[in-house]
Amino acid sequence: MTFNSYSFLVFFGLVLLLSRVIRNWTLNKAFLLAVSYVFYGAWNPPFVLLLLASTVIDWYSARWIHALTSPRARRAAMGVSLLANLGMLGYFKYAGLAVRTWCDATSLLGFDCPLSPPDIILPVGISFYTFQTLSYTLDVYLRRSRPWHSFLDYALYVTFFPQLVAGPIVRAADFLPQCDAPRKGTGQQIGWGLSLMVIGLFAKVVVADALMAPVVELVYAGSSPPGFVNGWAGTMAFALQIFADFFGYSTCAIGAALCLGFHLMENFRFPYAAIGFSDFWRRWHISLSTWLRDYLYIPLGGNRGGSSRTHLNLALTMLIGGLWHGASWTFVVWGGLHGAYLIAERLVRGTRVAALGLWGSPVGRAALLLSTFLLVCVAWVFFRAPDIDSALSILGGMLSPSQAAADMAMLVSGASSSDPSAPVFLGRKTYAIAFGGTAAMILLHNALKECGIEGLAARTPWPVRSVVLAVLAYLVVISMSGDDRAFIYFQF
Amino acid sequence: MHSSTSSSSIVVPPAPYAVSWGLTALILAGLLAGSEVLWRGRGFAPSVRDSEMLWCVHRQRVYSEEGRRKIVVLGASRAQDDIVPEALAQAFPEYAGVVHLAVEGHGALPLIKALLQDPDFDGLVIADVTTGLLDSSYDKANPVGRYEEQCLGSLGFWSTFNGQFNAWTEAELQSRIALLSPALTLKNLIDQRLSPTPPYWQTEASRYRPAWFRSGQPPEKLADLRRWRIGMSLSDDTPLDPPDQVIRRISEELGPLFQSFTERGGQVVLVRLPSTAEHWERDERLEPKALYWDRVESAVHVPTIHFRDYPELLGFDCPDTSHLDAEDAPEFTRRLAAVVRQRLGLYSTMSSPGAAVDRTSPR
Repeated sequence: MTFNSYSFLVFFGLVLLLSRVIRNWTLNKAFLLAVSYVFYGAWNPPFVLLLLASTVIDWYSARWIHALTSPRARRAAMGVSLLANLGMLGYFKYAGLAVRTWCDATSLLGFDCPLSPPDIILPVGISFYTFQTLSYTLDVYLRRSRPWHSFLDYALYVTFFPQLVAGPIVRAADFLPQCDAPRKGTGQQIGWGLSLMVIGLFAKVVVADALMAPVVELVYAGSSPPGFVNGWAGTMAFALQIFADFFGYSTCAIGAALCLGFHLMENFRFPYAAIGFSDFWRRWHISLSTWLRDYLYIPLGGNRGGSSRTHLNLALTMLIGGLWHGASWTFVVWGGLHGAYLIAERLVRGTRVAALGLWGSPVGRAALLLSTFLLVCVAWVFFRAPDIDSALSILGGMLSPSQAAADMAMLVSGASSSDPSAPVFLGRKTYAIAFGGTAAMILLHNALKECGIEGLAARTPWPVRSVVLAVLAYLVVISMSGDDRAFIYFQF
Repeated sequence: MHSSTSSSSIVVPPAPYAVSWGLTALILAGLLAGSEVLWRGRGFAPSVRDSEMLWCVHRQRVYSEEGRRKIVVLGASRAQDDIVPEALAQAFPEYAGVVHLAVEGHGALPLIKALLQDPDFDGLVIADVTTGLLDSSYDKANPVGRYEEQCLGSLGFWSTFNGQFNAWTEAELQSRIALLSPALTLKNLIDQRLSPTPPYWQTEASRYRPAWFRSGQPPEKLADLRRWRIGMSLSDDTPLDPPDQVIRRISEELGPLFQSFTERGGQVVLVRLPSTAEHWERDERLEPKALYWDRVESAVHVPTIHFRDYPELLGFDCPDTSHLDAEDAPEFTRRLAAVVRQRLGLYSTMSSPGAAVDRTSPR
């Protein structure tokens, strides 16, 4: 079930209503757990069992680890938990990649590959809930917390429908204490929660699906390399599409949870206003970046072992973060690029260039912001392209000065070249959506980077907010009848 | 417990939310109502998005109800445009209704095979085909088999319940509200610079797609469409294999399937719906009726109906050379139904003259 569907509208309306009617808190939590399984089962019923298995495994693993005193035994128990969790993730998500890679390697050596990639359905949201259950067990193992006293609370933490399939990746320490005392959304929470859901749906249905996705598909699904202008147009449109898509989901999730009285962590903080890559990762998919920091980067040693070790840890963390997104080497390259950016940023910060006052000036900051955005776009090429070859071909056009000059002529003349190998003029409307949308998004992110949506709403008179929400809702309604597009992060 | 460093508390901006949402709802209702009036005034009519899941909703309805069988229409765009479900249902009152499973742009063969192999289905199949479309060697890349696969899945109905609920809800809303028509999505509005032209066709919730060729568009547009359609049909000039080969393959592939289906009470009628002018000339040149179609019935042992063989089915004009105008479709369907009844040996019914299903153009 997706937030941008009629079934969710009915489902959420009923859940909101019934959760307010059920007065007993334990019963209410059981009800929320049951409807969360219905929410997940609406996609593919048998995979509810997998979710249940993951929940039970980590519930008992944590209790087992907590009961053990010997470090060796604890380590072994943690190993079993990791094996179970990562084993499931590995089988469902990475078995195909492993077989394909093995076959590519054997064919390079001149052997026939006896294996064929397995036909496995990827359970939606498995990467998200696996990381969520793992964080609970790891917290107990690292003695950051004790096992929770209620299985019902814990199962609800893993399964809570607003965040189940695409995050935010909630921490047990943030969610479980909320289960202790009865909670119902107050009028203010429901009012703001619904506002967030409208904003999230607008981002997803209007910006990502109706405006940006067609531009991205024109460029990335084309049969020939798109060249300079089209390459940048498609990639910038994708930068907007993926932000609007994922921000839209997270915002809907936060809004839906708030209506039920629960608080979920913020997942995006206007990332295209980032100056530098550490800043970017403090603003993009925050629940994943903090997860990777707390359970991978810091346990690897973080920045405690000198600069070489820090750079190695950064690179490893980002490569694994890339692979978490999808079973393809393109995601590893994407992660690797971000790792390289972060390392380069650390190196530059250590030089005298960083101390120049230039970077503190508005012009310097704007230059850094634009550089960050453009380099993020370069990495997005690998995230979006179907394979490494296509990504390199698209990137080749985007970074080619000679192609740039020819394409600029095409843009000015407003027509395609007679040369059949030259990129096709996509139309002024398409370029306006891609480049105009990018400029608008960067300006918006800059305007909201400090105050956030809440701050903007707080200083806007409520009648104006009502009008804006009505217009956004109207645009959502008239965009809903387009093609079916699932949230991009569902595939992860 | 250890908490992530990102705060999970949300600051709720204060506002009188009940009043604020009341105002939002009022403005939204005004915008929607205003747009509906505007677009209807500009000639837009309600129309449904014909998706795989909507097909699936209808696929689930093919089974008999209280001992009364269903009629299932298969085929491509011709069946979708020419056969009016209500008119067919009126002509077959002893059946429990009509289900339209035609899919635009694709031959019906994979769906005929899948439906007839469904052990729970025992209704009447009226399939619009050509001889070439009955021979799977010409239809290898046909993707409609996927419809059946995705719809029923490994768990049957429940695996697609959510998608079907959404498709059904969307169809119910779109069949009533012009503003929700696929022609008026934001993407289309932008593509057409906020000045979209009403399409000459609509899709109904039943998946019937009336095409108002004559009254739904200016004559010059119809002339363009006709030229385009003729060009399209002429671009495919591959003749079929020799008749003996084609008929043998059809007989081997479909004969046993039809036999087992009819033995368990099902009925199949293969129909060839009208095409006219250059389109018909091209069809006749590539697969001459006398050499191909006329041999199909004896090869598969189910009734076949070719529009050229029945005077009552002749004389209908296809404005684009391949599909009937929505104004003619109800009458054509009634006449076709009478022929089907005759071929199936069913006694004639005293159905109403059918005025109730005659359509007028939304414009």
